[in-house]
Amino acid sequence: MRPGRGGGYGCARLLLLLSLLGTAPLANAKSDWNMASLMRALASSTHATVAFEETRVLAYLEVALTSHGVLSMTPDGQLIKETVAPHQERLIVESDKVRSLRAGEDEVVLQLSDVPVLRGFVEAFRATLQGDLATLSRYYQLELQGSEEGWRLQLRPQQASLGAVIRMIDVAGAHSRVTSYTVTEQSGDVTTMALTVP
Amino acid sequence: MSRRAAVAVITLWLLSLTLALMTIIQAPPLQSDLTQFLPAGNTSQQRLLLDEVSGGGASRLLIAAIEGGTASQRAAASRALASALRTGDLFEQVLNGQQQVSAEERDLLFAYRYLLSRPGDYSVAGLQAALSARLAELASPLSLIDKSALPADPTAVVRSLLQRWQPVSAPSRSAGVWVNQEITLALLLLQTRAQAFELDRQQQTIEVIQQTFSRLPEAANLTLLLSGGPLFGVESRRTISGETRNLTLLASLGVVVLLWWRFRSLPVLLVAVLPLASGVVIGTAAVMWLFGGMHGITLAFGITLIGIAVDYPIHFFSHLQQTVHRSASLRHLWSTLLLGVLTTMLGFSSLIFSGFTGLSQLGLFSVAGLAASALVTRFLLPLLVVEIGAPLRPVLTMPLFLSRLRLLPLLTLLLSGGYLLVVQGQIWETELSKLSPVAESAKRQYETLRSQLGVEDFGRMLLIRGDSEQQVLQRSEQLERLLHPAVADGLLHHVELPTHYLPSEHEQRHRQSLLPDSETLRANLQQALTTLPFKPGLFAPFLAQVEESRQLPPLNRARLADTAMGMRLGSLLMQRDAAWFGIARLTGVTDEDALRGLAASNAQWLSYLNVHQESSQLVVDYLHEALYYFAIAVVVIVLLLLAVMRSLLLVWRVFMPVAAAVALAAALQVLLGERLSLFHVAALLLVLGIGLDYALFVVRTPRRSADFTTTMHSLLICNGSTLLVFGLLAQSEVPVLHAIGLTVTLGAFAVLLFSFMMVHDDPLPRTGA
Repeated sequence: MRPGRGGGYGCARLLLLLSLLGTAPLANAKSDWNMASLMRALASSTHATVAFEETRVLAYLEVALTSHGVLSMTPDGQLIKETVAPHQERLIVESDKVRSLRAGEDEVVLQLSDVPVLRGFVEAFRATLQGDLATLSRYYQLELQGSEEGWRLQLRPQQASLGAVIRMIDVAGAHSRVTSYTVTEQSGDVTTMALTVP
Repeated sequence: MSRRAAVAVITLWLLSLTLALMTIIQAPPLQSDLTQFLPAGNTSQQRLLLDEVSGGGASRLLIAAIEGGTASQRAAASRALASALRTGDLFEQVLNGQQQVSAEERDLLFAYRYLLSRPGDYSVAGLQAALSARLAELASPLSLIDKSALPADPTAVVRSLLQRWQPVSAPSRSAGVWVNQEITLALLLLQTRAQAFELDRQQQTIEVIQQTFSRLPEAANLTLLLSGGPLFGVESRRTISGETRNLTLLASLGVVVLLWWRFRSLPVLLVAVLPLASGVVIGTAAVMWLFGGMHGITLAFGITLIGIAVDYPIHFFSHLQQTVHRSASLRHLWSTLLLGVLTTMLGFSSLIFSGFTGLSQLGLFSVAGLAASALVTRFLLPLLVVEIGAPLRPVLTMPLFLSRLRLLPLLTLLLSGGYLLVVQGQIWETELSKLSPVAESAKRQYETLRSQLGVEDFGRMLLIRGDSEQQVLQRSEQLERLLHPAVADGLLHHVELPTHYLPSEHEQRHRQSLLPDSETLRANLQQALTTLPFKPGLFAPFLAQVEESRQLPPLNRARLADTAMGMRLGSLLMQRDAAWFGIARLTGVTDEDALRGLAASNAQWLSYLNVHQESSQLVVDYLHEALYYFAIAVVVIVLLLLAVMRSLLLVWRVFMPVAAAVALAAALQVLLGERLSLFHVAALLLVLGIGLDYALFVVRTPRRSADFTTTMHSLLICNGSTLLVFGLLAQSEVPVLHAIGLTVTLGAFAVLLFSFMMVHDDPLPRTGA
């Protein structure tokens, strides 16, 4: 059961309404650019495939872990994160499932609804790339800063279960393109993923 | 009869009825589930098998399917229903696809992880391999989920334990709950705490599910379908008791109308009830006294007793109507009736010795009931009715031409018997489930839902025997080693063993002894970490908990009580009488012979069971047993007839119509596509009993005797009442009742015709009866 769910819907609708009216309280800068127009822009984005560089700074480790690969969004809404090095991994997010394929290992399939933390986490990526404001605001409190040419969307978890693991997710971008994600966990672990058009 | 004798008869009758009624009042209520009607099992292994068939995990499973609305409405309703049902104590398990390892269970699992899982590799190389794997995992976003367990569990023991417990074939899911393939239904699997035979509790459980569902706000435009053993049990009971009541009522009405039509006398009607009622009361009391209870189906069989017992007063009244030679006629009646009752009782007594509880009860009920009815007719009725109106004109002309067909019964016997012998391999019904009154469509729906849920057919297992819990657990571990190559070779897909949830104490201590001491582990870990970037001191919890695990008292059943693991264990490890049993549930068996071979080479503690096959075999065994006693009864009956009639020819004339009718009724059933069950055997015994009465009356009443017309008419009335009662019974939807009804209707009609073929003019020899 998700006690916060009903509230999340209501909140999403309210936000959507406010942003459609052009009075989104946290959107600033030019009056013709706001959360709604950002989401519209993201939804219409044509960059289906981008390259990523990831850096993980983990409390457990003395060194940072880096990896790179390709992040893509298929027309039917599948999010694919393909890590090329140092370890090959293909991670596929489709509606309610995450599949992970690693070289030399069995496929791992997880149901997002079984792992609420993962569900919220995945939406931070999928919903921003799709410009899906309703879903985003179901899981996060949103704060938009900057301008159309250089914006920053801060996501703070709504739900306790997600909040217990994730402190904040910072999405940065320009126009209709996301340029980086920065995930800060409660443990202090920070993961930065920079996206570039190949 | 003198006045004193009359008083004695009435006193005795009232006294026995009072005693019988007292017995009935003090006895527990009627049993109404089919399982109690099934054989009791002679060995503890058989009892366990029968428990598996009738009371095991599968018989307590209910499948709930939620239909209508949208997928997310169904999923929400599934979650709400599951969480509501989990709060009560009616269910052992409520599964709907949501993950639900409780926090306490996770803690327990974590604490005992090194005793529950197979020995790990704690060498430098082993630790290095595990830690490298963890490091690679940390690069994946999925590490978010269980990263926190890393410092205490770097070898990921808990993860592999949880994986091993995953259902072998999980159903598909949508929106986090189980669904059917078409995603039109949300599915839940409920295992009731109430046993299969506790029908009242099962009914209550089902009502709670339905009420809980209807109160859910999520369920507004959804419907709930329930399916499964407990529901079938409850519905069977409703059908059986409803049918029994209605048919008994109808049959009684019919018989009353028939009697009125024949005798037109209110006293006759009232008095005619007495032998019957006394028979039912005495029969019931006898069963309750000897068996400590009685099954509803046995009482339903009371209706069949009407078929025979009503004949006695009919014969009496018919002979009473005779104006000439009345006393001689009555004397003749009594001696014939005595022989008829004795032979019929002999036939039914063969049921008493069958190991099939329900049939033993039927046998005893019939024997006691028939004796009581006959005694009441013989001694009480003549006191109550001394005069009766003149007989009606003969209703039917005796079809005398039948006596020209005297060889027809023999021919019928040969043909029917020959046919039965030719097809004998396929005529027996060996499936217990076919005796259940549940509609085929309901069973099919259940099978479909069950396969979509991936609920295993609990059919194949290896049964481990031992003198103690620990011995069984150790043997379970031995079996796991034995089965390892079979699983690797693909002879079976998966085996679930008791020791997956609770290893033996011996094994747990062994695993403890294999854990390295803290100095060694610290040194190995340090060396393994030299090339890896983990922070120093990160794995301190691991070092501490391995050391703790070395000192833990072994996990036991009590500690697992009330956990999902404990419940799983409870269905795999059990005590029956003095012996302990462990069940290894097998899935995807492709080579049964190999498993049989494995069991055979460890025969003193291991056996292979194909529950379905074994239960069929059990039914066949009981069937053979019943047929064996039936044969003995027939021999004794023939000997008794010979002793009394002292004429082979007469015995031939009595026996031939009966044998022919029994064989014909059985053959016709087979021709009609029915398979003969134990209940058909019981019905054939009824045909035998009824037939013996008919044939005896015909053979002992030569055509020239004064009684002839009276006797033949009374037989016609008797036959009419029998056809009425059993024809009604054949309309029943309950297979058991239908089988008895149809068999007796066919048999009774045939036996009357065949008996009429034996009408003769030979004078009777003087007999002792």
